[in-house]
Formats: sequence, C-alpha cells, structure tokens
Amino acid sequence: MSDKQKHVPPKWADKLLEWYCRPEHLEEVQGALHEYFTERAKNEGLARARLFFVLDALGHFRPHLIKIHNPGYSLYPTIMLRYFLRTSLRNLVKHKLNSTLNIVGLTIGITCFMMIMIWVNHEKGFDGFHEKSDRIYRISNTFRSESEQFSQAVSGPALGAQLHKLFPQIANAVRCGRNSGQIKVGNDNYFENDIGIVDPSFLDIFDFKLLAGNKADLFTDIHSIVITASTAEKYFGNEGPIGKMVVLDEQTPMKVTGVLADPPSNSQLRFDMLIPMGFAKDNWSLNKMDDTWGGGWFHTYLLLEKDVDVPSLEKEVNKLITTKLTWFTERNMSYEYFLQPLKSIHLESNLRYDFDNNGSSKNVMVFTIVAFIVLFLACINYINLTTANAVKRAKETGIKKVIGALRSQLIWQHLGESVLMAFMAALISVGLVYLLMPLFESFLGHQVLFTPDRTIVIALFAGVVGLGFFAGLLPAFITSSFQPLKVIKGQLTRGKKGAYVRNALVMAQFTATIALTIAIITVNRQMSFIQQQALGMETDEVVLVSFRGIQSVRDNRKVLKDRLLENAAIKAVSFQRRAYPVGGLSNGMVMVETGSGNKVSSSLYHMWVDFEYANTFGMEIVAGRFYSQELPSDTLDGVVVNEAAVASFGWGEPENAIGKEMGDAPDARKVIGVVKDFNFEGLHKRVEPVRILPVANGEYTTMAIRANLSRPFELLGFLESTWMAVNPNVPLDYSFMNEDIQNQYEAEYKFRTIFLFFSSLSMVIACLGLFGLATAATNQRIKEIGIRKIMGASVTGLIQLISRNFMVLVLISLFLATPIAWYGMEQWLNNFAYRIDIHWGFIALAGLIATVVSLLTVSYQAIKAALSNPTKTLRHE
Amino acid sequence: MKGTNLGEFEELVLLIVIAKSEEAYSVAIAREINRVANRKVVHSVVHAALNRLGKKGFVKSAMGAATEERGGRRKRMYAITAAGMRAVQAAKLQRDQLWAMITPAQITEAYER
Repeated sequence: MSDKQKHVPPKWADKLLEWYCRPEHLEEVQGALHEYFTERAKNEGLARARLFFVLDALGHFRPHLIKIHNPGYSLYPTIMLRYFLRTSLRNLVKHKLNSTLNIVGLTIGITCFMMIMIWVNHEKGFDGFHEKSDRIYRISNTFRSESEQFSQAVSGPALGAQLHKLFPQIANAVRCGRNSGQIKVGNDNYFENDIGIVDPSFLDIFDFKLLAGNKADLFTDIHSIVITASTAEKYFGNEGPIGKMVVLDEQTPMKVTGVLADPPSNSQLRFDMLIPMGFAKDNWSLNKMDDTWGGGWFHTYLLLEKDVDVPSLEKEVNKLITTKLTWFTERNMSYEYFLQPLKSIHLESNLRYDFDNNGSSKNVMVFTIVAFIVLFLACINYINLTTANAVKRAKETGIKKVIGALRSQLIWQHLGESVLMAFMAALISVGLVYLLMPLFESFLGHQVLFTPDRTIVIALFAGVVGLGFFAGLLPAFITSSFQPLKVIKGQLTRGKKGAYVRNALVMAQFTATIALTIAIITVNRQMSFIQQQALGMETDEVVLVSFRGIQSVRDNRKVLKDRLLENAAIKAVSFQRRAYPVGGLSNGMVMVETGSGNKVSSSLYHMWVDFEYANTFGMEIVAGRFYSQELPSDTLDGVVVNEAAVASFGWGEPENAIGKEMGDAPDARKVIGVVKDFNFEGLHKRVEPVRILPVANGEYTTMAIRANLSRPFELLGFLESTWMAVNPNVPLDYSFMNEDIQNQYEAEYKFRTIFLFFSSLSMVIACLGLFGLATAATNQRIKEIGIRKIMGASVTGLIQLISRNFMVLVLISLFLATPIAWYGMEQWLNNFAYRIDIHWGFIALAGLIATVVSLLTVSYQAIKAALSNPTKTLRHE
Repeated sequence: MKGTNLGEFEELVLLIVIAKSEEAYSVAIAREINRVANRKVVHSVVHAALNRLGKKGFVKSAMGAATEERGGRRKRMYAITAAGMRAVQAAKLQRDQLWAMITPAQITEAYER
C-alpha cells in the first residue's frame, strides 16, 4: 500500500454512501465527510479519521438522504403490482391443469407438514405445563444382580419420603403410585383403573388445576379422595362433589375433598382420582415403607432447588443410598440411581414399569423426516411443472422484455407468482387441517394440544414465503431467461431448459417415494409376522375377568367356578394373582442355584397361579409337572419356571432344571417343572425368566376362562348371568385375551397406518408431478409424434418412445432408494426382539409398484398422443 | 409546507448562516456550533437541519467552489432568505418581549434561591 493511498478514507464506506445517498445531496455530504477526514487525519491520526469516516457514512443514513430506488418507470409501484397480480391470476386460469396440479401438490404437502408438525409439537411439549417443570426430575434406577441387570422407572418408597429432608438441593419430593380398585357411590359400583396414590406434596410440585376444595386440606385426613372433573360428573352428575362419601373396595368410606381438572393430554401422569399415600401405608400394612430404600415401588419425583448441579447430586444420592442398602450389597445386588428431567421422560425414557403412554423420540424423528420429505416432494413438483411449462410463457417473457422489462423484474414477478401459489395452497391447507384434526385425534385416541399463537402465525407466514421462494427460484430464473429475439423468431429449444435439473429432481422424488414404499412393505410384513408368531400359549379362547381382589369374589370363587363349568362351552376356569401374561408382570428378588451349583442373586418376574392355570392358558409343559390337585405338597415347596429361566441360569436341558433350588429358607423351593416360553411383554422384548408360584392365602385378583367362543354372545350372556347370581355387588369386567394382545401393538398399528397414509400421499404427489411432466413432454413432441405416425410408427412404439425416459429415471431411483430404505428399516426392525429380515423381494415389489404407477401415469398422456390424428397436430404449419 | 415555526437548534443554525454569510456551508456551520454553543454535533444532524430549513424556505442554497480537502468536491453554500430573516427576527422579538417583562430583582431572587 503506497503512502498516498493510506490517506484515503475507506473506499467501501464511500461506496456505501454513494449507494444510498440521494444524488442531489451526495456531492455535498461526501465532500463534508472528506473534509472532516482530512482534518481528523491531520489532528487525531489516521485510524481515528477512518473510524469516524465510517461512522459518519453510516450516520447519514437518514430519511432525508436515502435514495428511493427509482426503477425506471414512473407509475410505480401500485399499477405494476396490480398488473403482476393480474397476469399471475390469468396464468393460473389459463394453464388450468398445471395450476391444479401445482396447487393440489402443494396443498397436500403443506397439509401433511402442518399436521405432522402439530403432532410433533404436542409430543415434544409433554409435561411442559407444570410451572416448575424445568426443576422436576424423576429418580429412576438400574438394578444389578449376579444374573441380570435392568433399569426401572420405580424406586423404593424411602427415597420419596426422605431424600428432600437429607439434601438441601432437593426442595420437595412426591411419590406417585397407581392402583385399581372398586369405588361404590350410593348403590352404584365402578371399577377404576387409574387411582393415583400420591404424597400430599403432589400439588406443590405439579400444576394440575384445582377446581374445588382447599389445596392445603386435600389430604390432611388419610380417608380423603380427590377426583377429576370427569369422574365427578360420572359419580355425582351435577351435584357438588365436595364432602360426598364414596366406598373404596367395599370397605373404606372416603370423603371427597377436592376436584381437579382432568389431566391434559400432554401429561405423563394420568389419573381419575387421587388418594393419599398415608392411606396406602395404613391399610396395606406398609408401615415400614418410609424406611424401605430398595425395590421398585413408586414413581418418585424430586423438585430441585434452582441451579442445582444434577450429576453431582446424583453422586451424593447414590453414595447415601448405598449405605442403606446393605441387605442387597451382601447379596451382590446393587441399585444405581439417576435423575431424568421430567420433560424428557415422555420421549426418551423406556424403562421397566414406565408409563404405557410414553412416546418415542425415534417416531418423532421419523415423522419429522417424513414431513420434510413430503413438503420437499411438493416443492419439486412445482419446480418441475413450472420449468417444463416455462416455454409456454416464452412469448410473454419476450414481449415484456421488448417493451422494456428488466430480467430482475421478471424474476420478481415469477417469485411473486410462486409465493402467491404457496399462499393459496397454505390457505386451503389451514382449512383442511382444521377439518382433519378431529379425525386425526380420534385416530390417535387422544387430544392433540395446539394453540396457534402469534409466533406460530408468523412462522407459518415466513414458512410459506420461504417455500414460495424455494420452489420458485429456479423456475423464475429459467422463465425469465428467454431472449426476446429468439422467442419472436420462434427459435426455441423447446423445454430443454433445466432438463437436467428436472430429471435430477424427478429422480430425487422417486427415490423418496420408493424408499417410503419399501418402508411400508417392511412395516406391513413385520406386523403380520408378529401376528403369526406363536406366543407359547392359547390366546384365542381365553376370556379374562378382573375383580381386583375383592374379598367377596375370592370367597365365592369355588361356587362360581362350578357353576361356570356346568356350561359345556367352558373348558377350564382358573384363578390367579398378577399372572395375566399380557402387558407385563411384576418381579422380585430370589437366590437361585445355577447350573454349576453356585447360588446367585437374581431378580425374576413372578406370577401366582392355581392348578388350572397351565391348562387354561394352554401352556405346554416341557419337563417335569405343573401344580396339581393330586400333589398338594408341590404348592408348599415347588416352583415352576419357564425355558428362559433354564437358559439364564445355565441349567442346560429343561430336564436338568428339575430339583434345582430357588429362594432362601423359609421359602426355599425346588423346581418341579418347566413350561415352554410364553410371551408376556409383547414381541419387542425377548422372553425373560419367570417363576410361577402357587397363590398363597387365596389372594386372587383375576379369573381366566378358556371356552369355545364360536357363540361369543351366548357365552358372555351366560357368564354375566352366572356372575351376577354369585357376585351381585361386583360389576363384571371382562376382556378377550386376543384383543388385549392386539392392544399391545396399538402403537405399532398406529405407526403403520400413519406411515402408510403419508407415504401414499407422497406417491400421489410424485404422480401428480409425473403426470404434469408427461403432459408437457408429449405436448412438446406432438408434431414429432405426428410425423412419426405418418412414417408408419406403431402406437406401442410411440408409447415406448415417450415412456422410456421416465422409466429410466424410475429405475435409477430404485437403485438410489434401496440402500437408504434398507438402513432405515434395519433401525426400525431392531426395536423388535422378534423381527423379519429385509428381503430383496420387498425392494422388487416396491420397484414394481413405482414402475407400474408411473407407467400408468405417463402412458395416459403417451397413448393420447399416439392415438391423436396426425393431420390435426400437423395442420398448423 | 407544514409548520414554519423555528426549533431551537434550527434557530441556532439559522443565526450562524447569517453570521458566517461568507463561509456558510455545512461543515463550517457544524464547527461554529461546536465553538459558540460548545456542543458536539455530528455532520448529519446539521445537514438534516439545513435540509429542513431549506424545505421551510428559510434558507436557499447553491453549489460553491471545490476545495482540495474535500477531494475536489464542491460545497453547498447556504444563505438566509427573507422568510428566514423574518422567522429569526420574530423569534428574537418574542424573547425580547419576554425579557422586558423580567425585572433585575427577579433575576437576583432566582440566584439567591
């Protein structure tokens, strides 16, 4: 840099000034700034002079100096705008097919996108409604024994009772349990499955809206019950519920002390009523509960103080609890506790005994991707159709240019057109979303919370403008690029412009579509595979009656069983406790003798059954014997296990298991039999070890009936009348086992249906685009086809000629889509313990579907063109 | 033209335009304000005021001579118009009338308060 140049103010600032300053003021202002610069450079140094020059140049950005960019025509801007709008609308009307395809495509894309995003928003917003949700954590744990380890969402009751007293970082704690039971209101009995058992601190931590009652006194008396608004209506109609009495499980009168609003659909905690923890402690002989640290009892939530370092708190908590768990450490078992942020639980947590309404972040991600794919496909459609038809508007462009339009103006006009199109589509979509949302909700089975606020409206607006720009940019450049001279001379390379880009885009579109098709096929196969899996038990003939351990039913069970068996259709009746092999079992600790003779600590799932159990559920005995009436001593010291337990403890062959010891005195038992593995948790998970024990003290909770269900209504009528005769005060609550099993896969079925729906839509969008492209292609080649026909080309040959290009694209897409879909579906299938492998046939099928559908789409136009009369198409020249 | 009243800053600028009639261009005026009123003003503010005064018809302007320190660019020289002169005189008259109502005793009283 020469010495002279240094004494020059920054050029860019000068340029900036020249750019924005009105010309009539420019010389004066610029001169003034230079004068200042010269003076400052002399007095204050060059650096300061340059700095101030820049500041001054920026400082003159004032209304009276800012140039209004004059675009060169005088009647700017309203007339031009009106003209743009008018030509845009005229173009829409003139090219009806194109406009319809464009708007339909964009509408489908935007509607899908909005619906998916509303759902994603709902899923991500779980539990955000609690004011302190950022400070609420659930304490969960990983249990380890010598034979296994698992993480569970429930913890020992002492944690919730004591942690907040021991650690200053923890402000408060609440334990939440869930129970089912019978509630009697007046003379009516109700079975309730969602009875929350909570500490009185519940409402200090969570913000469920209290509609009636005094917050401080809700649980002062342990015989209090707080019910939700819908339960209040069910029990008492329009009467005020406060102070009313209900009877719990035919024994305890409880007083209604409060009414809560129903928990919102984005709450992980769901309940119909709440009873205080104190009641559970008093009535279920759990007096020592508040000092019991081990085990998995309740979901325990901690409210932390502000700005607590969570990892170090976890360490401290673990250190403390370990000192309390000597009983476990002596037996080589351990618990490791960890804190889960409340808001992350719904999507991230998938532990044992977690909430059954938990979502999955994987699904949220899958659908977010699908949403963007569908939107992207719609954009590609727009780009393809518009560029393919750009030639139709070449004359318009040419004339405009001749009259004096600048290219930039034409680009803006076309961008404006695509934004306009996007707005029309978005407007229709908003309407559609409002119409479809109730359907979507009834399909999902829950409300989807969504309140459009200002940010969302702005985001939507910006999104639509962005979409319009994204979709319109390429078409705008291509459409505005025609040279007026060539247009008017008729020297146009018809439709060639952007052909490469268009082909690439069609390929992208079909790649996405084929990948989604492969995914649908895989999902479908996996679902039917699951349905056909042998579950290791008889499921089609079993009816389950749940009576939640009500004493009168327990007492009458023999009479009931005898009367039921009088019906020839009923093959077996059994009573059991926590032994319904659908939806999971509870577990417990036990010492087990392994194959090598050592004793190891272990945690096994367990169930309590009667003699008829294996018979009723059709379980197969692979070794030894089941409990039987003839061998009553088995019920004292015998235990039955499943094959998974045999494998887990290294016993080898099932026969070797017989006689192995399980449990410590006084409850030591020897294995008497092994049942074939039966699936009790759904096919996501492998079958885990189970021990089957006889029910002690008549503590039955459910009854299972195996019956010929060829006349289901007759049978149910018989069941109901017999039940009412024996247990007049207890309502009959039954379910069919095969339905319960189906319900286990409800989430998967919903996933499949939604996936199918959106993927089909993407296929529709892709076909819309292809149809438009084929139309454009045949229109452009209509004369060529005419001449070929005159020369003797056959109709099939012509169809081939037109379809060939598209088919090549579809085939390339198939190759691109295969690895993507393969990878994605492997990930999904890994969710299942029992899964199929992806077969090349799926890919072939997807390719076939795509080829056939696209061939049909293209050939409509091709056939039309091939059958047209050449004299008509050639007449004009 | 909207309001023809004279703001305080505008009055100051206008007076300087009269006083420095030989050398009345934006940079010089800004310097003068700096000197007389001991007030740091940036050029853009002075320019805006001059522009406003021009629109009100209080000053007229013409391009003057170029100087080297301005990189060969010309200055815009400002001169007061009859209307401008009327406006400053009216302002002065107004103040004089008010000053006439103020007694020396009132001034001393204010200082002693």
